Amino acid sequence: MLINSVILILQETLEAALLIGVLLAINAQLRCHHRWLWYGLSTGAIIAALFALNMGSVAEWFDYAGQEVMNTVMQSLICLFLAAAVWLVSGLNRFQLGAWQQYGHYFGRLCGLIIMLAVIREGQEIMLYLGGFFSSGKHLQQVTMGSIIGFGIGASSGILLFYGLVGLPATWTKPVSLTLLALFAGTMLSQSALQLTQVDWIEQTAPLWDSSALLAEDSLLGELLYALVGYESKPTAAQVVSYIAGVCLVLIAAFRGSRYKRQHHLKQHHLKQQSGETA
Amino acid sequence: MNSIRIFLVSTILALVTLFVFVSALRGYESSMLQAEQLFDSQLKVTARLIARIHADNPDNQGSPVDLDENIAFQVWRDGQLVARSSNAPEAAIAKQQPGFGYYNFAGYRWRTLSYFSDDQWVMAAERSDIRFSLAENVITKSLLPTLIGLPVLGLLIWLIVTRGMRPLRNLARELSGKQADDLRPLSTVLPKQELAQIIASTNGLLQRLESSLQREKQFASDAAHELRTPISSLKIQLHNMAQDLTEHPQEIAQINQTANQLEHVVEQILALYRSSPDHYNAQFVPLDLSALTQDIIAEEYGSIERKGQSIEFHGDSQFILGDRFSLGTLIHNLLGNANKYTPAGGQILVSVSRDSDAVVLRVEDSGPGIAEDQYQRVFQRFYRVGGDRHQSGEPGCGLGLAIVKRVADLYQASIDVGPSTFSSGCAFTLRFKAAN
Repeated sequence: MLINSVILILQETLEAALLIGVLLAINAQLRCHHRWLWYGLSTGAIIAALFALNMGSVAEWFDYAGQEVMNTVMQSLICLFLAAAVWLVSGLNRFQLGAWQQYGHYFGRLCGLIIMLAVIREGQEIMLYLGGFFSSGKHLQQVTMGSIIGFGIGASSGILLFYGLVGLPATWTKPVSLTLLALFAGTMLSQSALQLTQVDWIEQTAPLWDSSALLAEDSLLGELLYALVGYESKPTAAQVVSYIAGVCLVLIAAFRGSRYKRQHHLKQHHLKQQSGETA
Repeated sequence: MNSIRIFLVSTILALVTLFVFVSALRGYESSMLQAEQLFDSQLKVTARLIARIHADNPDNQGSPVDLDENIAFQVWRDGQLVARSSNAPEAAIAKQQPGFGYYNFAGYRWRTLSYFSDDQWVMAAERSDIRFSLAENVITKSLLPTLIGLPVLGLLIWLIVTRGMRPLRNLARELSGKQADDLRPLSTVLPKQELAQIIASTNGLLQRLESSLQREKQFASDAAHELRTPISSLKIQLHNMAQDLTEHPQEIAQINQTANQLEHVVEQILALYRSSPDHYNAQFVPLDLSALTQDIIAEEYGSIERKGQSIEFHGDSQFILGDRFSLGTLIHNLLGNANKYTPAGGQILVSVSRDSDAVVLRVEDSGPGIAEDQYQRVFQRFYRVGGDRHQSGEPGCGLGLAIVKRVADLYQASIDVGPSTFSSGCAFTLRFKAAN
């Protein structure tokens, strides 16, 4: 029971902790407040508890595909919000002055929403799992210890990733963080495809490859890579396509965001010059 | 997030947690494997024992034997079941191949051992879930101290980092507690190796800054002092010229006014210099602030009357420890300020009163007043509200209130600026410590 609890809690915690770590690192570079973290965590935990309490009815939705569909919706929303957040902060450090500051505030709000969705998704599964054991009263010690170990490893990885990103040279922090967010968005869409495959909304196909012999998904490194870059040892075509779509969406958002700010900056600069000449 | 302490505690604790928990998991896995091997060898002993019992009594084919619920066995000879435990089915519980395996029967998963000896197959089995629970219970108990110890370790790390950061915190406190004019070296004795360089550099910087400021003050004082004599001489010459050149009275008056202004600036610079703590060493004696204020009002009355202003004084005898020169300079400057910036016909109100342990000197006028955001700036040297384009048109050098502030600091008196009780204007309130 201990190892099962470790794996489940680690899977759920690690993903959220790494996402929070990356978002906080970008936030620290923009020097914005991080109240959104606490709003996202608290609201997410409350909604996750409500979901877990009503999971019976939620599961019955969409012809007993309710949980999978809800997860798909949340994962897709996380992917979209990540793309929007990346659009907001791309190219921002060069135009950190004046009106561009508000982009940092919008970024904070989006981060709050992303964290909230991530906590709902991961939190409801943890609550369901732990709730089952606590109501039965069996293996409590092993489950509790396993949960603490899983949570400890997940949270520690998030903290180290945050300080690792913040400790990078200033010019590296944001590109590395944005790349990780792009991979994370890919993971979200890939998991959505998997969820829809499980309820037969997408046709089940044979895996494109099998790398479980090289790196098993349930190994510690496999878990870490799964949470960080969405590693799957036996992905289907739908998962691979979704993964690439998620990554591309964020990369396009980064490119467009950077270009938009550069063009508007130049436009404002031009207007200022014109008004200066008129004066 | 920008705190060094939080960074150190978080990263150390995260690294320790990661290493301890990953090691604990590795330990758990290897302990479970060893426990499995231990249970297997125990199962082998059981199988051998059963084989020996049935080899010694080959005709012993009785009813099923009642055993512990987590152990089952079967003995097969020539394809016939010759003995079994009561919880074992009549069908074979494992293949007739030597070695261990996992099979399901009687509603549970079992660890089985097939053992061939003395022309008979002995199949011994133990319930897999019970073996797992037994092993896990033992191993988790060994992990418990690690989990309990981790918060204690976290607390210790926090305390050690906090203790280690103390010299830095003390240094920061000493720096932030320094007054703007306190350029004494940092007093930290026997600094830590990492801070010694910072303290040495800061002290060097403070020393250079102090020397530079001293030179600046000395220069201003020397220049002002040296200018006094030629200005006096110039004024005498002007007076003589005014007697001789009666056809240019306006030009002479303008030059005279400029000379007066120059003399005023020089006197103010000298007053500022003399009131600096480094050069101020007067003996404080009990002094009646009320009487002194009245004397100064009498001295300034000529200027007040010339502008058609009215002045009122309220107060009775109030004693503070001080000296006439510095307090006189302070009151002169406050009254001069009110006189300058209050328009002709305006009012000036001066009061000296007692407020518990403090003697309060208040000078207010009905002038244009000072905007709230300028309250602190008016005490800066050479600062004038509105710059040289002050709407009063009065000449000034912006040193008067800086001198007032400097003298107030000497007396550790508080000074506040606020609106006056008139419909316009401002009020300066100084609170001195009363003499016992």
